[in-house]
Amino acid sequence: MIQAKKRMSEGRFAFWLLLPTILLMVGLLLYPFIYSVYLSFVDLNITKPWIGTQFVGLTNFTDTLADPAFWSSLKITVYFSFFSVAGSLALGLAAALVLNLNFAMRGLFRSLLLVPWAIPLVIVGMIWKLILHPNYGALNGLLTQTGLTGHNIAWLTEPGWSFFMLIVAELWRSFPFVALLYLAALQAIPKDLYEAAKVDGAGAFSNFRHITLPFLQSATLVLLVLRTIDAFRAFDLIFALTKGGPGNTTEIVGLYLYKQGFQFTNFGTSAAGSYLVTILILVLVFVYVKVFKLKDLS
Amino acid sequence: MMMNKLKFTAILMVVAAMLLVTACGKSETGGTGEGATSGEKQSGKPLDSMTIKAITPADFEQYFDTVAQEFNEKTGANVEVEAVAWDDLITKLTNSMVSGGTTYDVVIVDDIYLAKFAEAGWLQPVDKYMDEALKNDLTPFTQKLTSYKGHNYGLPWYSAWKTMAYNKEMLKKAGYDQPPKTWDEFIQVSKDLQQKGIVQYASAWSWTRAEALIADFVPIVASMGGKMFDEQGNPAFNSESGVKALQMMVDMIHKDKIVDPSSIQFNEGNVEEAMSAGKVAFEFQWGMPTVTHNDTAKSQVANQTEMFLLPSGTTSATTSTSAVQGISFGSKNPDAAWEFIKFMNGPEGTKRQLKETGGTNVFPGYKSLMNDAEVKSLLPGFDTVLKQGEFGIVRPQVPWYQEWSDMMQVQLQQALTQSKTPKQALDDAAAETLKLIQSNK
Repeated sequence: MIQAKKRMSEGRFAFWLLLPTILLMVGLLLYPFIYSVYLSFVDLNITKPWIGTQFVGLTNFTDTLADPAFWSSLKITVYFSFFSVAGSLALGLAAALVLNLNFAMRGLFRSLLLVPWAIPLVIVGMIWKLILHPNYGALNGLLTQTGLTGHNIAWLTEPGWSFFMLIVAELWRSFPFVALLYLAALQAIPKDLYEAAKVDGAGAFSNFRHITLPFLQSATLVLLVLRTIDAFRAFDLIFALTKGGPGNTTEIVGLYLYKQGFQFTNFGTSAAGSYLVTILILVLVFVYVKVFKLKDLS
Repeated sequence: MMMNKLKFTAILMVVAAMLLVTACGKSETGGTGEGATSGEKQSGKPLDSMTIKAITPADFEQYFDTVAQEFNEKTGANVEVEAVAWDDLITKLTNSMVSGGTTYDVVIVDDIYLAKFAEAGWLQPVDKYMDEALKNDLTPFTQKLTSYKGHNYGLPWYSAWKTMAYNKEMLKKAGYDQPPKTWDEFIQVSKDLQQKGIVQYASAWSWTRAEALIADFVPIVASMGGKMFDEQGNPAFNSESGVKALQMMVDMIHKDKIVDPSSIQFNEGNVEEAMSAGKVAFEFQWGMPTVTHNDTAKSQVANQTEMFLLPSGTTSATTSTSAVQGISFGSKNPDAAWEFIKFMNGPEGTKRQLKETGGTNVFPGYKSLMNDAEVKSLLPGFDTVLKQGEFGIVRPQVPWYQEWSDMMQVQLQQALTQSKTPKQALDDAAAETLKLIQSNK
């Protein structure tokens, strides 16, 4: 009885301690959320003050859905998400498997792994812009000095290369987080399973397929959700590196929505488009959860 | 129980102390630039302890701070300056206007955005502050670009147009005493320069996905005898002249191979770097790039470059621009803001700016300065630049310019990357333009 009382007062104590943070979060998140929902149903007519704010119902949503530029940006975002999610998961898993082995200075490598992830995305974009500079970039310097190419390549002027380099930059900065989560999951796998498998004569690939992968399912689901949301929200890197060019070949939906709101002052369209993308992400998350059937292996 | 209460009280006190420190910390910040003062009362000065908030592109921050310091000594007003990158300026200004226009008193608005800002009521007209002498001193092109529907919205701050520069030493090596006058000559000279191994690419241009691309496309079309819009305001850039201009741009990269393909990602700064590094023989640049070329600290082509007119198809042409330094509609200190604008951007302030910044990309926006001997002496090759200015073209001054420019950049780049033919790109652009015109009626 005394213990139960103690637990309740600890819970209440924790609530009171968290209350300032909760109030701050409500103020900083709830108000903008409600306002953005409001924006998606009105036209502020910011540059036509003589008309003023008008309620337009679902017009912002239908206008966005009727805009070919929106669908183009969404298509590019889907491609970007697919390659960046798949690539970061594969690369992150490979890194985690390596870092799970015992080797000298493993701790140092684990620490260095996080450096790309810690750099702000705008800075990542600027770093890669310098690396990819056609005349002074490190990449062209490396390729021409080693004789792999005979001339400088303007990476960001060709649609195909531009998109490819965007994926490379995104993978470089995102795989460390994936590796970190996979590393944590790998370390939770009971060692005796591998020992038992060894006794049964199982090889490395068989161990990976029948022991490691199943134990990584829940981590994979979490990473799929987080990385997909991340990829759909991408903006900083593309803005810093290509600004959507050449043409609109790297104009992802985040950039399209940013321009609608902050350059063309179509805040209603921007808000409506954001919610359309949110719905799409929710559908994807629902699909992920349904597809992944978790088995209780404990 | 007693211990719990003590613990709780202690934690609350720590949290309260943290909040207090944060709140105090915020009030100590604010005010940028070396020129800003603490705003102490200086008796007898006309604008004692008044604070004026301004915004400037980062290139001009140092000069702005110097002027702000002098204005403070003269009037007692404290000028707080925020410096941002050129590309971020319009976004910052738009956000500030949308949120009430009180973030800045003094704002810089490019001529291509003036129509939007004026229509939205984001700028205060300054007609009441300008006397006839000042109005009449504005050159015709700065008068056009700093006013909208009969009202003046500030004073010219960044008046410039683009002119070609060439490396005369490189041309001499190739056997040319004069720069090319026509596009055919330009292409031929470029090929010769490359064939003789003088340069890898004869020229680089600022054709990245940004306003820079439009600033080049407009005069190139004009040089072929075309224009952006006809007298009725309908798109005219997809005419035969417009298609010819864009086709020439595409061919110069992919067929003639005389333009560095990196031009598709270059802005004006990258082009300037290539010219100063001696990598190209020609550039199309704002203002007076020869001043930068002659700076031995930054350039490897000192005293090797001169100005010349954009090659012609039927005529030469250039893009003219003039940003206006004006007063935000939400400013609480419009009179003080005007005093600062007059101090910085009036005829005397402009002459001082030319002297102190070397006039690399600022031209005098006043008739009284155009023939000033001291000004001319600061700008080598200015006679050629003045002649280029006679062919100046202003980009469309419409409230929906940003949407139009963004769409045009996409279409033009699709042509430059050969994803579409020039005719297809310009026809698509014309169709989109008509939609924009319709939706903004």
